[in-house]
Amino acid sequence: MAESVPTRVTCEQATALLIDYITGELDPATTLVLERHLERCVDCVAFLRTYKETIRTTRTLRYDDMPGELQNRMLQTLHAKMRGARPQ
Amino acid sequence: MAQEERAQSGPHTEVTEQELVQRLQAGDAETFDALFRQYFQKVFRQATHLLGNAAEAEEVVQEVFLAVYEKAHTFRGEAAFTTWLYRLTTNAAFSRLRRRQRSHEVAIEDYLPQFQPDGHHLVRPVVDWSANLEERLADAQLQQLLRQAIALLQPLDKAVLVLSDFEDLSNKEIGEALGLTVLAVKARLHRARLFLRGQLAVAFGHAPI
Repeated sequence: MAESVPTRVTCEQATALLIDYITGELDPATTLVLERHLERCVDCVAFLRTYKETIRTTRTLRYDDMPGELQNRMLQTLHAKMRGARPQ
Repeated sequence: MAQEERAQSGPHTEVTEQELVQRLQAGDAETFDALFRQYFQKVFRQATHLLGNAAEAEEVVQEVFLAVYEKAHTFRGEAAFTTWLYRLTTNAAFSRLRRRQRSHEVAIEDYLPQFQPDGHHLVRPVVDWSANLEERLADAQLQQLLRQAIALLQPLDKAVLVLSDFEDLSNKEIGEALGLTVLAVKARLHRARLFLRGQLAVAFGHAPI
């Protein structure tokens, strides 16, 4: 028997659905229920926007790559260690 | 990450990562160098995100590639080589995180959304601070804020976030690398993002929840 989809969701339930909603992984019936909630809930719209912005901003985080000379030095160190180690 | 991922082993030849691992298992030293050059930056990046500093990340890179050499024969090719590499990197970073003294515990829950018994947001209205973030906070400040917030995450939540939002792995691939179900990956990813959202909200002068 198909699982029934509730006709309404609370803000708490809507928040739990956001991870799948933003990637389009929610089934169509649940998407419809969530979007109906969003049409009349400014709090959840604000929450959704800040949730999406958090992900976008997080993805901009950068660290420097490993410098080229360090790569070569590290490879030499690894060669030395490998001579002392045998594959288990 | 596809098993057929092409890896450069020389100026004119391309071999699959599977072939590279087979050569490594046969004891080919040049292949080790090729694998290192192909993947060290990926390992370094993941370790830096997990540990928050380059010095420890460099040590993790060494540990991981030494483990690749020593344990190559245990790689069966059931998952992609990169998945195995992600797992080795996560394990090496986790053992360092465990050794660290916990100096400032943050209650994760304080930064997660909270709700009234009827399911409405506890604090209303929820403020939309999503517009023009970069204009309100200098890039360097925003980066620093995010680094500090990520450092506060629980190790496994952090690992899931790093593999999802920085390495662009699917939830299934993350599950394979970390030994989690897809549902568990999603739960941890959602919690990590909610926590970061709460931290950003506070930075912009609003309630975290």
